[in-house]
Parts: sequence; structure tokens; C-alpha cells
Amino acid sequence: MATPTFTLLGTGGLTDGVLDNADSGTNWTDIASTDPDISVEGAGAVSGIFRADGEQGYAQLSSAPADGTDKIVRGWIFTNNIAYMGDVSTSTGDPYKLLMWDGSNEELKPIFGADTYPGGWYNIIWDVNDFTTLNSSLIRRWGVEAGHAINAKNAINTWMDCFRYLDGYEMTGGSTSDPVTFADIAGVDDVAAYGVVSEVNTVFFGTGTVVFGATSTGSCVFDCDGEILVFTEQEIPAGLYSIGAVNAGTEVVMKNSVLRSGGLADNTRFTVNWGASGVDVEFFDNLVVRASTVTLYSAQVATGNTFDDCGQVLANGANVSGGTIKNYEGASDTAALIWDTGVSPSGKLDDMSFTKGAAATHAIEFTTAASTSLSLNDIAFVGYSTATGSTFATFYFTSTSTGDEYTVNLQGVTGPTSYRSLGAQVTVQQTVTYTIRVSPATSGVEIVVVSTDEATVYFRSTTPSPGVVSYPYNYTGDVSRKVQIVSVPYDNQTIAVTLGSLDAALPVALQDDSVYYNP
Amino acid sequence: MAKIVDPDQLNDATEIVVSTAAKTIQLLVAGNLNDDSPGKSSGATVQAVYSKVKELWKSNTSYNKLSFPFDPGAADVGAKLRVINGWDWADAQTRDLLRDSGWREEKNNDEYISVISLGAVDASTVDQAYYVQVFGFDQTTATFDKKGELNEGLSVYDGSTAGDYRDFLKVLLREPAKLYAEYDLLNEQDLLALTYQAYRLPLSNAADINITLADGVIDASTDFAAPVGITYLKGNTFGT
Repeated sequence: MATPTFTLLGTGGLTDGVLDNADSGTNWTDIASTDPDISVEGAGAVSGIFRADGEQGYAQLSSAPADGTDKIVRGWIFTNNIAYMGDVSTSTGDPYKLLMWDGSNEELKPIFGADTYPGGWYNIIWDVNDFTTLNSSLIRRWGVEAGHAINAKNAINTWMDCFRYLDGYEMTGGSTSDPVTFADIAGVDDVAAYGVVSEVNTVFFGTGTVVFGATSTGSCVFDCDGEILVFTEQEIPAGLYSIGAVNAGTEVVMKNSVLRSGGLADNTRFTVNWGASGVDVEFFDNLVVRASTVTLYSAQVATGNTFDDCGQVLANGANVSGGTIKNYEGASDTAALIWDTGVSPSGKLDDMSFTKGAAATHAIEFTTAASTSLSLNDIAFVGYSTATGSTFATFYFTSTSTGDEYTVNLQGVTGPTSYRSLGAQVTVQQTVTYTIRVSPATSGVEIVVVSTDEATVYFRSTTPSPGVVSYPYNYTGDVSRKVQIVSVPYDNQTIAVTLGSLDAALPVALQDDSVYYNP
Repeated sequence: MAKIVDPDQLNDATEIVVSTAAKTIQLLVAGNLNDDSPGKSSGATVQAVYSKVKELWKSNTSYNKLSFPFDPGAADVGAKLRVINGWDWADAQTRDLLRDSGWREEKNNDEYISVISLGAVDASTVDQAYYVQVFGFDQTTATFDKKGELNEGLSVYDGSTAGDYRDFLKVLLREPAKLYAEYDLLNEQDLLALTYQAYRLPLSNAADINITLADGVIDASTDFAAPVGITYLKGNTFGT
């Protein structure tokens, strides 16, 4: 069990990002009694009575300790007033509200009501920039206003603890023999009540930025197998939620795990950024749901992952073979995966599956950095247009130069293979192998593949022993052909076949020709 | 020259011509191949033709891009060769040169039997056998293509009801001063219908030793008080 060391992000220069740790009631109004027994961190929490609707409890400083602009404010509240609360969803009565004050103006944001409060300590998380009537650089009061449909019992019923500015954290620590795990992170987080990663019944919940390794110095060895991390729905800005890695020496192994956003709005999508080249990441067989951008780097292994309803996958030459990308709902005329490197995609994008979502998007975008000779193997494309130039054609070439000529060689690819180009010349050709295997395996059998009207010969070969001939062809759509099996000692045969997008084999049973006779 | 049974005797563009444009196989009276009487010793067997085309298909890239013209059936024993895939024999001469097997031409739905006579014909280049394909003594007769011992194709079906002669065939050999021979094929061999195969039937003749005078002698003779005549009753429903 490793103990990671956190470097907090987005603290505004405050120690631990703390605005007030609520260990004493010095700065608190109405909720000012110190309770050493009920707290989420430190020596205790402040407590008091929220009885009537609109009563407030807050910490107030004489001046703003830090500029709150672009900060995430976090705080903790625990109340047993659920029976008296209004609802959030129906606006019946008032819900409980986060309050902030800049010395002149106060602004409130609903945080929970009787219909949503889960009980226990509740982690308030809010984007300060949402408080648009306040001067975010001058904020110096943080607290909660009660929202009651009826008065609550006149006894201590509410506790609050540590308010801070915090986006998330980077971490160092761990070793190959004792790597950091999500459980380790949640354990350290829990002590300080950061609330960025928490654990409930072996499921981990994220509310901020999580980075393995430190930007300045220090690396992290992290390991995760079969875990679940859910980024929860909060009033946070897009881009806050992130999981990534930095600093050469950092090693991340994440496999058979689930990363997903619990929210439905785009602001709760999370980025996946596996650092710069040099970070050792093995990211395979994971399910990633509702991420935003997923950034990988060359030499990284990110195979077998499913990206469902995610933003663009920036492959950067990483090996994402065996992966599934589906339901990408980006802007029209953008692609689910960006190939922005001269590295050949052969062996990097093999055995993938792309399924278009509702938006008119492409499967793969080849930027001007891509090689002009591209090979794609065993990929399934579903839902894309068959029309060249469509905003949801399978491939998207961004080069505007008409002098650029790209050739895409496909092998084992199914589904539409259309393309849209902003100027470059593009040739998409599917190389498929059709194998004719005669039995008994014998040499000297003439194999001729012809058009159905027998006017055009596409392929001709004489079987070597052991009677197998391979016919490679470029797939541009299913075609009907005839295969002429010509032999003197065996019956001649004409076999009608359909040449499709996948490698296929034609077994041919040769029959002895008892009629042929040459003395 | 004898009947060709060796495909090596059929040379491409000499005795045999394959037209990929017309999709026909043609046999020519040329080189090793002749269509002389009697049929038993001329022409080429269907098996030899088939075997030659088989070899040509293997070696000629202009040919083997096309579907093979034949389904051989059991042509080695004279039966059931089919000309298929839009191919056909080029002409009547080609058909006249085929020996030892019947065939079916799928293109036009035609069927031919091969009539092979057993036994010797007295004058192989003179004696002319003939046949009738409809039962009845008043039906039209036709002569075979060649004289002497028979071995040639005979159309029995042309794809139409009017041209369907698969239910009767009588072969006759009647020459002056010679013994007559005839053979009712379906009755004699207890066949329900003819199909495209070879049929072997006895048909031979020899001098009739009971005839000692030539016809002209008899015609000029005054030994008979009155002219001798025979009244023939034409028909097929005689009663008593």
C-alpha cells in the first residue's frame, strides 16, 4: 500500500487551498460552535442551528485571501434537517444554497434539497465563475443558507467543515513493487477531506483533476486493474475533470477498468491525457464513457479500449489496436480519432471498430502530418456515409493542397470507406485476399477469375502444390465474379462468387474426369 | 482414314475450330478428319472431341476465361454429353462428323441420338439406310447422312412438340436384290422414350439368293399373261 504525495492544483496560493478549516468558530457566523467529534478533517467542525428558512451560516474574513477567479470552491456540510428542506428539482420551498459575498454583494446557488440530499457529509463543489454578480477577486464569505419549508427543530442540526479553493492534485510516489492505487489516493484524500477522489463500496468517485506524476519534479507509479472511477455531476467548468500523467519516469498501468462521467452535461466530461512522450502508459481493455478529449502519445499501448460517447481521440501514433470508438458526438465534419503523425497506422489501428453516433462526423482524420501512404487493417466502420465528400464520410483529410496525394490501403476493412478531402487527392483501396483451395491438393489446375460476362480476366494462376492460389484484389464494393477451374484430369468448373471486403476462401472439390481420354 | 478416337488427331484451327466470339465448336472436313461413308469409319468420336477441347481449354488463355462448353455426362460410354454455357456446334457438318454418342444442345434445347448399326452392310458405300420417326406406314421417310454401316447423330427433339420424335424410330435397309432389314428401336429394346445417347441396333443386309434376274429382265419378260402388280393399302388401322 503506497502513500502518494499530493501537489494541490488551483489553490490560489493558499496552503492546502484552505479558506477556513472550520477547526474553530473564530471566523464563523451563526454556525460557530466548535464540534471536535463530528468533522471531515482537522480538529473539528463548526456547528449550529438552522431553524428558519433563510438562516445562514458562514465564514467571513476581513479581506479576500485569494483571487477566486477560475477557482473551484469546495466545502463540507452535514445537516439533519432533511425533513424541513424544500426541493431542488421542483423548487417547492427553498433548497439549501451555497452563499458567497464579496464585501458588497451576496450570491446564492442551490446545492441540495430534500429530494437530493443524500445525508451525511456533503461535499459542496462549485465553479466560482458561476457567481456572476460577485467580484470574484474579492470574495471573503463562504457558507450555506438554509432552505426550509417549515422551521426545523431548535437544536444543533448543522455542521460545516473546511472551505477551500481546489481543482485537484498531482501526485508522486509508488514503485513497481508497490504502486499507487485508487484506494491509496482515496485514503490520503480522505484524511485531508479534499474530496477529489473518494471511495464508496469499492467504486471511486472523482470531482477534479487527477494527475499521476508532478509537473515540476517527481514521478508516480500507478496501477489499476478492474476499478471503476466515476466523475460526478457537479457545477464545475468544462475541463476541470481530468485524469492524466506527466513527467518521464511516471508509469501508469490501467486495465479492465471503467472511467466514466456520471453527468449528462458536457462540463462533466473528463479529459484523458497520458502525458508527454516518455510517460510509460499501458492503458488497455478499459471502458471509457463520456470523456472529452483523449490524448495518447506514440510508443504508448492503449489497446482494446472502448471509447463510448467520448470526445476526439488524439492518437499521436499510439497503439490503439483492438479498440472501439462509438457514438462520438462532436461537431459536424470532425473525426472521432485524429491521426496526426507520420507513423504508419498499420499495426496501430488494427482490429478497431468505429460506430458513428447521431452527429455527422468522420471516423478518422488524417492531418497534414500523416503519411501519404496509409494502411489500415481489419477495421469495422458502421454508420458512415458511402458518399465521397460527405461530412460524415469515413475518412477525413485536412490537407488543402491539391498536390498532396494520399493512398489508403485497406485490408480486412468492413463498412463504408468513403472520404472527405479539403483539397488533397485521395485514393482508397481495399486489399483483400481471396484464396482458392482445390481438393485434392494438386498442382497444375488453372484458376481464372473473370467478370460475370467472361469478357475480362482479373486474375490467372496455376495452382502450385498444395493446390492453393491467393488472389489479392482492391475492394471498392462487393462484386460478382466467376472463377474458372480448368484442369485436364478433373472436371472443369465455373463457380459464381461474390468478392467482398473481407478475406475469404473458396474450397473447390475436384472431380475426376472419367470422360477425358487420350490414348 | 479411320474414325478419330485420339484427340491428338484433332488439331486446333485445322480439324477443330473454337470460336470464342460465336461460342461455337466446329469440326472441319480437313486434315485427319473426313465425313465419308460409312459412318463407322469416319468422323470423330464425341469423346475425342470433348477430350481435345478439354486440352485446348487448359492451354489456351483465350478459351479458358470462358465457361467450358461441355458437361461430359457419360460420353465415354456414348451418353448424356451436354453442350452448355451458351455454346453450340457450329453447323450441320460438325454434327455429321460426330460419332459414338448422343448429345444435348442446351442453347436451343435440341437433342440428338447416335444411331450405330450392328452387322455388315453388303455395300458400305452404296447401300442406303433410311428411317421413319413417326409410327405409321404412310409417314415420311428420310435417309441417313451416310451410306453403309451407320454411326451418326440423328435429331430427335428440337425443343418443340412438333419436333419431338423421341417416342418412335424405325430404321430400314432395303436395297434391290438384297435381303431387307428393319429395326423398330423402341419396341425392340422396350424403351419408353429416346434420350440423347448412342443406340446400337442390328442392321445388315446381303444379296438375296432367291433373286436371280435383274429387274430389267423381268420387266421385259413376256412369260407373264398379264402384268404383275401389287396393291398396297396405306394406313395403320387394318382390321379383319
